[in-house]
Amino acid sequence: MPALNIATPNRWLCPVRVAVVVALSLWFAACTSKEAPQPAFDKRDFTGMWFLAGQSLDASLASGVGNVTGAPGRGTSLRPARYGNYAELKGAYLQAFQDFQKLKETSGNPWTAKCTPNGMPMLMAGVYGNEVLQAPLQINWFQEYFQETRRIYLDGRPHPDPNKYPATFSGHSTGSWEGDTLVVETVNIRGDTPLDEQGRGHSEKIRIVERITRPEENRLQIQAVVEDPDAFVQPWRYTLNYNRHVGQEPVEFVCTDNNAESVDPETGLEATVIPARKNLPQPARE
Amino acid sequence: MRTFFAVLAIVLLSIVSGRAYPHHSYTAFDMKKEMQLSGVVVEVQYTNPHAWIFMEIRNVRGNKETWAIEAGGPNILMRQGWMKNTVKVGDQIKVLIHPMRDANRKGGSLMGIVMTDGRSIGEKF
Repeated sequence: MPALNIATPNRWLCPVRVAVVVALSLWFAACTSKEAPQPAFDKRDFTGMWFLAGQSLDASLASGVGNVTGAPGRGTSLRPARYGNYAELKGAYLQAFQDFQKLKETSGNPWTAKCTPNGMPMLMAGVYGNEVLQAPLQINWFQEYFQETRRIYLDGRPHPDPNKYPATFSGHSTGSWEGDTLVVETVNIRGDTPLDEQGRGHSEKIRIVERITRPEENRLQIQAVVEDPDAFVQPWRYTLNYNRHVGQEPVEFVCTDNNAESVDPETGLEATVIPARKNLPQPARE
Repeated sequence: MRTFFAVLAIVLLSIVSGRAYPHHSYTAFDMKKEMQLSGVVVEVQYTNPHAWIFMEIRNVRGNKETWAIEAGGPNILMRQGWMKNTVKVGDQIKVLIHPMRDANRKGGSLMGIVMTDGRSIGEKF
């Protein structure tokens, strides 16, 4: 009776060969997982810290260098524009803007010191960080500058009756998805919020429609159309781009904390006071 | 009469035109003039909306003067590596400033700073 050779098939199960096969499998798995494409980012998730593209903080975070004040740097007379263009005003709103320009020329004040919120639409063009938190039925958009939080409701609710609810700085925003684009409508904005950094104004009939997309993982884009039948010659269209800077956290900005700037109501001139010393030493004894 | 119209313009602006955007305009400072100061930090107010550094210098007569220098707020400074403890009381610093228009007031808007250890932030000088 021939001996049954059972060693041949079991040779593959010897510990050394098993170890080699397992090691090769692990190595192959490791190599293939590195080469596998990363999961695509969610184009419908806007959560993150976003900075207005091209402005000083976005540039500072990208380059690691920047200027130590909010003032324009040496050799520049203007801050970079936030919008690509400006609203074309008419009637009393155009006149008021032109008068404001003249006042700025005569007073020498390019801008006016203030500590009140900007509201819509300027809160979206703030140069500090924007912290966006998104839940399925609501987005909170927080801008560090003046610590404004804007809420965008995604639950299908209607806008409130403007006869019952007073207009607000940020207005009332509702949004719905068209594919990967969030379409947001904002109404009931106060009539005294600035449209832009130059101080153009508008009426309470202003209506803003923003189309918000995330075309790249670290880029957010808003294409807006703003209508105001009382103040605009035609709808104002602008685009804002934001860059995401991972690892950033919001920094508190309480404007009235140690504010040294004010405007003389009679002359329109800005005054800067030197804040009081807080750690002045006791008078020396001689 | 001019005052009346200025007030009227501001009232109308507040109703119709809205307000200008930035927190302030730097018109209290002579933005065309630059000045260098070298001295010792005697107080740092690392606050919003602006940080202020108080520094003691020796003027040309050898007398002590205290200057107040306005910088950006923590939102700006922290993102350039200038933290709360970056500039401290006792530090020997050099600054480049736009001085206040009123020469009687020892103040300026910061353009650049060189720290004790030679690090610098802002405009080079």
